[in-house]
Amino acid sequence: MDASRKLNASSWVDNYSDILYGYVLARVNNAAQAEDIVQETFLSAWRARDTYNATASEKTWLFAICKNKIIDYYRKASTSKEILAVDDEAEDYFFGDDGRHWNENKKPQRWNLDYNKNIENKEFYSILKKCKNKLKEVQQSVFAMKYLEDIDTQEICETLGISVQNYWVLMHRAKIQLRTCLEKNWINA
Amino acid sequence: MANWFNISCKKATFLISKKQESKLAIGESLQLFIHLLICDVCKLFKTQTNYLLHNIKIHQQTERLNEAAKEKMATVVKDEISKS
Repeated sequence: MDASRKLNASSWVDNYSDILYGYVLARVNNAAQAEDIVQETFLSAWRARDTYNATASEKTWLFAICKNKIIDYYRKASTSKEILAVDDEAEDYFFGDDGRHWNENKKPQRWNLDYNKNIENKEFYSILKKCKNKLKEVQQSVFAMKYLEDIDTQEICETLGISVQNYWVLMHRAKIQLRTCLEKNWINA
Repeated sequence: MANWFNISCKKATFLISKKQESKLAIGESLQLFIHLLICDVCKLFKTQTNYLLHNIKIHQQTERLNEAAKEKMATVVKDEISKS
Protein backbone atom coordinates (compact mmCIF):
# COMPACT_ATOMS: atom_id res chain seq x y z
CA MET A 1 0.00 0.00 0.00
CA ASP A 2 1.07 3.54 -0.72
CA ALA A 3 2.74 4.79 2.47
CA SER A 4 1.42 8.32 2.10
CA ARG A 5 -2.08 6.98 2.72
CA LYS A 6 -1.07 6.37 6.29
CA LEU A 7 -0.73 10.10 6.77
CA ASN A 8 -3.62 11.69 8.54
CA ALA A 9 -3.18 15.20 7.20
CA SER A 10 -6.57 16.53 8.21
CA SER A 11 -5.66 15.99 11.87
CA TRP A 12 -2.14 17.43 11.71
CA VAL A 13 -3.07 20.82 13.10
CA ASP A 14 -4.99 19.25 16.00
CA ASN A 15 -2.34 16.71 16.79
CA TYR A 16 0.93 18.48 16.22
CA SER A 17 0.58 22.25 15.97
CA ASP A 18 1.14 22.87 19.70
CA ILE A 19 4.18 20.71 20.04
CA LEU A 20 5.76 21.98 16.85
CA TYR A 21 4.97 25.54 17.83
CA GLY A 22 6.63 25.15 21.24
CA TYR A 23 9.65 23.65 19.56
CA VAL A 24 9.92 26.42 16.98
CA LEU A 25 9.23 29.23 19.42
CA ALA A 26 12.21 28.22 21.52
CA ARG A 27 14.35 28.65 18.43
CA VAL A 28 13.20 31.72 16.54
CA ASN A 29 12.63 35.34 17.41
CA ASN A 30 8.93 35.79 17.67
CA ALA A 31 5.51 34.22 17.77
CA ALA A 32 4.39 35.27 14.29
CA GLN A 33 7.56 33.84 12.79
CA ALA A 34 7.02 30.60 14.69
CA GLU A 35 3.43 30.30 13.47
CA ASP A 36 4.56 30.77 9.90
CA ILE A 37 7.15 28.06 10.22
CA VAL A 38 4.66 25.59 11.68
CA GLN A 39 2.16 26.31 8.94
CA GLU A 40 4.81 26.01 6.25
CA THR A 41 5.81 22.68 7.77
CA PHE A 42 2.32 21.28 7.28
CA LEU A 43 2.02 22.64 3.76
CA SER A 44 5.42 21.34 2.68
CA ALA A 45 4.70 17.99 4.27
CA TRP A 46 1.47 17.69 2.35
CA ARG A 47 3.11 18.62 -0.94
CA ALA A 48 5.86 16.10 -0.28
CA ARG A 49 3.51 13.35 0.94
CA ASP A 50 4.69 10.97 -1.75
CA THR A 51 8.13 10.93 -0.20
CA TYR A 52 6.82 9.69 3.12
CA ASN A 53 7.75 6.05 3.48
CA ALA A 54 6.28 5.03 6.83
CA THR A 55 9.60 3.86 8.28
CA ALA A 56 9.45 6.94 10.48
CA SER A 57 6.33 7.94 12.38
CA GLU A 58 4.24 10.78 11.06
CA LYS A 59 5.40 12.90 13.96
CA THR A 60 9.10 12.25 13.39
CA TRP A 61 8.67 13.02 9.73
CA LEU A 62 6.94 16.35 10.45
CA PHE A 63 9.67 17.27 12.90
CA ALA A 64 12.35 16.59 10.31
CA ILE A 65 10.61 18.92 7.86
CA CYS A 66 10.16 21.50 10.57
CA LYS A 67 13.86 21.43 11.49
CA ASN A 68 14.79 22.14 7.90
CA LYS A 69 12.46 25.13 7.92
CA ILE A 70 14.15 26.43 11.05
CA ILE A 71 17.60 26.07 9.51
CA ASP A 72 16.39 27.94 6.42
CA TYR A 73 15.23 30.65 8.76
CA TYR A 74 18.64 30.91 10.45
CA ARG A 75 20.36 31.02 7.11
CA LYS A 76 18.16 33.83 5.83
CA ALA A 77 18.44 35.77 9.08
CA SER A 78 22.19 35.72 9.03
CA THR A 79 22.77 36.49 5.39
CA SER A 80 20.47 39.47 5.48
CA LYS A 81 22.95 41.83 7.12
CA GLU A 82 25.99 42.49 9.11
CA ILE A 83 28.09 39.40 8.41
CA LEU A 84 31.23 39.91 10.20
CA ALA A 85 33.14 42.92 10.60
CA VAL A 86 35.55 41.03 12.82
CA ASP A 87 36.45 44.07 14.79
CA ASP A 88 37.36 44.00 18.43
CA GLU A 89 34.73 46.44 19.49
CA ALA A 90 32.49 43.86 21.12
CA GLU A 91 35.26 42.60 23.35
CA ASP A 92 36.66 46.01 24.15
CA TYR A 93 33.44 46.67 25.94
CA PHE A 94 34.29 43.88 28.35
CA PHE A 95 38.05 44.06 28.50
CA GLY A 96 39.24 47.56 27.87
CA ASP A 97 41.75 48.57 25.27
CA ASP A 98 44.61 46.23 25.95
CA GLY A 99 42.37 43.23 26.67
CA ARG A 100 44.52 42.20 29.62
CA HIS A 101 41.87 42.31 32.30
CA TRP A 102 38.13 42.54 32.64
CA ASN A 103 36.73 46.04 32.96
CA GLU A 104 35.93 46.48 36.62
CA ASN A 105 32.21 47.05 36.11
CA LYS A 106 31.81 44.37 33.44
CA LYS A 107 33.43 41.42 35.10
CA PRO A 108 31.42 38.39 36.22
CA GLN A 109 29.96 38.65 39.73
CA ARG A 110 29.44 35.77 42.12
CA TRP A 111 26.03 34.17 41.74
CA ASN A 112 24.27 33.04 44.83
CA LEU A 113 23.09 29.66 43.55
CA ASP A 114 24.00 26.00 43.39
CA TYR A 115 25.66 25.29 40.06
CA ASN A 116 24.89 21.59 40.40
CA LYS A 117 21.17 22.14 40.39
CA ASN A 118 19.27 22.58 37.17
CA ILE A 119 17.33 25.76 36.64
CA GLU A 120 13.67 25.11 37.13
CA ASN A 121 12.07 28.51 37.12
CA LYS A 122 10.18 29.56 34.04
CA GLU A 123 11.28 33.12 34.36
CA PHE A 124 14.80 32.16 33.37
CA TYR A 125 13.66 31.03 29.96
CA SER A 126 11.67 34.12 29.16
CA ILE A 127 14.65 36.26 30.16
CA LEU A 128 16.97 34.04 28.16
CA LYS A 129 14.78 34.63 25.16
CA LYS A 130 14.93 38.38 25.57
CA CYS A 131 18.69 38.22 25.97
CA LYS A 132 19.00 36.05 22.87
CA ASN A 133 16.99 38.55 20.89
CA LYS A 134 19.46 41.27 21.76
CA LEU A 135 22.25 39.43 19.97
CA LYS A 136 22.99 40.16 16.36
CA GLU A 137 21.08 37.80 14.10
CA VAL A 138 24.11 35.92 12.91
CA GLN A 139 25.16 35.35 16.53
CA GLN A 140 21.70 34.08 17.35
CA SER A 141 21.91 31.71 14.42
CA VAL A 142 25.24 30.15 15.34
CA PHE A 143 24.23 29.90 18.96
CA ALA A 144 20.84 28.30 18.29
CA MET A 145 22.18 25.91 15.67
CA LYS A 146 24.82 24.67 18.08
CA TYR A 147 23.00 24.63 21.40
CA LEU A 148 19.42 24.02 20.36
CA GLU A 149 19.76 22.00 17.16
CA ASP A 150 23.00 20.27 18.06
CA ILE A 151 24.42 20.67 14.58
CA ASP A 152 28.17 20.25 14.27
CA THR A 153 30.44 23.21 13.77
CA GLN A 154 31.52 22.37 10.24
CA GLU A 155 27.94 22.08 9.05
CA ILE A 156 26.95 25.35 10.70
CA CYS A 157 29.81 27.12 8.95
CA GLU A 158 28.81 25.67 5.60
CA THR A 159 25.14 26.50 6.06
CA LEU A 160 25.82 30.08 7.05
CA GLY A 161 28.78 30.55 4.73
CA ILE A 162 31.25 31.61 7.42
CA SER A 163 34.78 30.50 8.25
CA VAL A 164 35.56 28.41 11.31
CA GLN A 165 37.58 31.26 12.75
CA ASN A 166 34.60 33.58 12.38
CA TYR A 167 32.42 30.96 13.97
CA TRP A 168 34.52 30.93 17.15
CA VAL A 169 34.48 34.69 17.39
CA LEU A 170 30.71 34.90 16.85
CA MET A 171 30.03 32.11 19.30
CA HIS A 172 32.26 33.59 21.95
CA ARG A 173 30.60 36.97 21.62
CA ALA A 174 27.18 35.37 21.89
CA LYS A 175 28.17 33.62 25.11
CA ILE A 176 29.84 36.56 26.75
CA GLN A 177 26.87 38.78 25.99
CA LEU A 178 24.31 36.24 27.09
CA ARG A 179 26.10 35.69 30.38
CA THR A 180 26.18 39.40 31.10
CA CYS A 181 22.57 39.94 30.11
CA LEU A 182 21.39 37.04 32.29
CA GLU A 183 23.41 38.24 35.23
CA LYS A 184 21.88 41.65 34.97
CA ASN A 185 18.28 40.66 34.31
CA TRP A 186 17.92 37.31 36.00
CA ILE A 187 20.46 36.96 38.80
CA ASN A 188 20.39 40.58 39.91
CA ALA A 189 16.83 41.38 38.93
CA MET B 1 58.55 33.08 27.06
CA ALA B 2 57.06 34.66 30.16
CA ASN B 3 54.60 36.41 27.86
CA TRP B 4 53.62 33.20 26.20
CA PHE B 5 52.38 31.81 29.50
CA ASN B 6 50.73 34.99 30.50
CA ILE B 7 47.66 35.35 28.30
CA SER B 8 45.05 38.09 28.65
CA CYS B 9 41.57 37.63 30.07
CA LYS B 10 40.24 38.39 26.61
CA LYS B 11 42.16 35.48 25.13
CA ALA B 12 41.39 33.23 28.09
CA THR B 13 37.63 33.68 27.79
CA PHE B 14 37.87 33.02 24.06
CA LEU B 15 39.62 29.73 24.80
CA ILE B 16 37.02 28.87 27.45
CA SER B 17 34.27 29.32 24.86
CA LYS B 18 36.13 27.24 22.34
CA LYS B 19 36.81 24.46 24.80
CA GLN B 20 33.10 24.17 25.52
CA GLU B 21 32.71 22.78 22.03
CA SER B 22 35.96 21.36 20.82
CA LYS B 23 39.43 20.28 21.80
CA LEU B 24 42.04 22.96 22.25
CA ALA B 25 45.54 22.64 20.84
CA ILE B 26 48.05 21.55 23.48
CA GLY B 27 49.60 25.00 23.69
CA GLU B 28 46.20 26.66 24.11
CA SER B 29 45.23 24.13 26.73
CA LEU B 30 48.33 24.89 28.76
CA GLN B 31 47.90 28.63 28.45
CA LEU B 32 44.32 28.40 29.64
CA PHE B 33 45.19 26.06 32.49
CA ILE B 34 47.80 28.45 33.82
CA HIS B 35 45.55 31.46 33.43
CA LEU B 36 42.76 29.79 35.38
CA LEU B 37 45.13 29.02 38.24
CA ILE B 38 45.65 32.70 38.81
CA CYS B 39 42.46 34.36 37.58
CA ASP B 40 39.31 33.92 39.66
CA VAL B 41 37.23 36.13 37.40
CA CYS B 42 37.81 34.00 34.32
CA LYS B 43 37.21 30.90 36.43
CA LEU B 44 33.85 32.37 37.35
CA PHE B 45 33.16 33.05 33.68
CA LYS B 46 33.87 29.41 32.92
CA THR B 47 31.65 28.04 35.70
CA GLN B 48 28.77 30.33 34.85
CA THR B 49 28.79 29.83 31.09
CA ASN B 50 29.06 26.04 31.53
CA TYR B 51 26.10 26.18 33.86
CA LEU B 52 24.02 28.30 31.49
CA LEU B 53 24.80 26.19 28.44
CA HIS B 54 23.87 23.02 30.26
CA ASN B 55 20.53 24.48 31.27
CA ILE B 56 19.81 25.94 27.87
CA LYS B 57 20.30 22.52 26.32
CA ILE B 58 17.81 20.73 28.53
CA HIS B 59 15.19 23.40 28.14
CA GLN B 60 11.88 22.37 26.63
CA GLN B 61 9.44 25.04 25.68
CA THR B 62 5.80 24.40 26.55
CA GLU B 63 3.98 27.39 25.15
CA ARG B 64 0.86 26.62 23.15
CA LEU B 65 -0.55 28.09 20.02
CA ASN B 66 -3.63 30.25 20.58
CA GLU B 67 -6.96 28.95 19.29
CA ALA B 68 -7.47 31.63 16.66
CA ALA B 69 -4.09 30.94 15.10
CA LYS B 70 -4.76 27.24 15.20
CA GLU B 71 -8.08 27.60 13.42
CA LYS B 72 -6.57 29.77 10.76
CA MET B 73 -3.84 27.24 10.24
CA ALA B 74 -6.33 24.39 10.04
CA THR B 75 -8.20 26.24 7.29
CA VAL B 76 -5.06 26.88 5.27
CA VAL B 77 -4.01 23.25 5.53
CA LYS B 78 -7.49 22.01 4.63
CA ASP B 79 -7.53 24.24 1.55
CA GLU B 80 -4.19 22.84 0.47
CA ILE B 81 -5.40 19.26 0.92
CA SER B 82 -8.58 19.85 -1.02
CA LYS B 83 -6.62 21.22 -3.97
CA SER B 84 -5.34 17.78 -4.78
